[in-house]
Amino acid sequence: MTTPDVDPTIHLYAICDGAPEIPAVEGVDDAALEAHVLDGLTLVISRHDRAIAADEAALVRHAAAVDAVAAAGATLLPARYGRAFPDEAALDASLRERAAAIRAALEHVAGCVELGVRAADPKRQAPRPDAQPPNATAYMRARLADVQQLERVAAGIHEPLAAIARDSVRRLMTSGRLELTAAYLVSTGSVDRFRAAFDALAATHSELAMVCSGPWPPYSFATLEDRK
Amino acid sequence: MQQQITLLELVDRVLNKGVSLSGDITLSVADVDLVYVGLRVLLASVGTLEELQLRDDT
Repeated sequence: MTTPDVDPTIHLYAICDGAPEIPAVEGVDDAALEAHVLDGLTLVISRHDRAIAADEAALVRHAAAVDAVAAAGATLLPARYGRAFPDEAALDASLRERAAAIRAALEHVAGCVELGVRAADPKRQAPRPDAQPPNATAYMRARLADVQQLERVAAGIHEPLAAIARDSVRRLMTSGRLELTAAYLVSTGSVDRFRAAFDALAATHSELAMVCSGPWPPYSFATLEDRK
Repeated sequence: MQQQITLLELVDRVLNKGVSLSGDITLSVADVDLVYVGLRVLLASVGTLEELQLRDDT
């Protein structure tokens, strides 16, 4: 039963290949997860009678629901938080617009998990414009050499890990110090090898703070706009 | 600290990655900023990556 002042919405957690079992876990705002099947894909959704929250607790519940579906064995693309659909017709239309890219992405991530890597060097100091040598050309040369050095360090971390992965994305900030953020799509059978490679790199780069997170559902490989 | 970094990684993924179908946007920029500000405060309160590294070294 609805009342005139409610605004029902559908929240999407993930798009799954085929018809996987949906675990009996609660999603955002304690709503039950439902399966909505369309054209051989299963959308994991929950229904709400008002806008859902945008706080950390809600984000964690969203992620936990996606984790539970993935843990039950589904090949899936996690959905980005913060979009709502007024009804199933709107959801179906939106899905059909991107069906080909979604199927290609599902095939790409099948059998894989995502592992995240961050590396940073908080102590490092970049060349400063007011440092010696005191002229613009010398500063620019020093800055360029500094950036190239950071890129070499980042490549030394990223490339051996990317060689183990089916796919990878990386973002490197070189504004004075190294901040490498990378995600790797790794087959479940290669996760231990990836972690061992990461541990070896972390031991080699004792000057860096390095963290390996995951396994995650393949969030970083479900951004359809990035697909070639 | 590891737990806080994991939370940062999680929020980054859930808000910025994943399939984005053309539904109605329910999060305003301000909402997203608030989540990140909350995380930054959380991270600042327990230390930095540097401190994590130092702890791991001991």
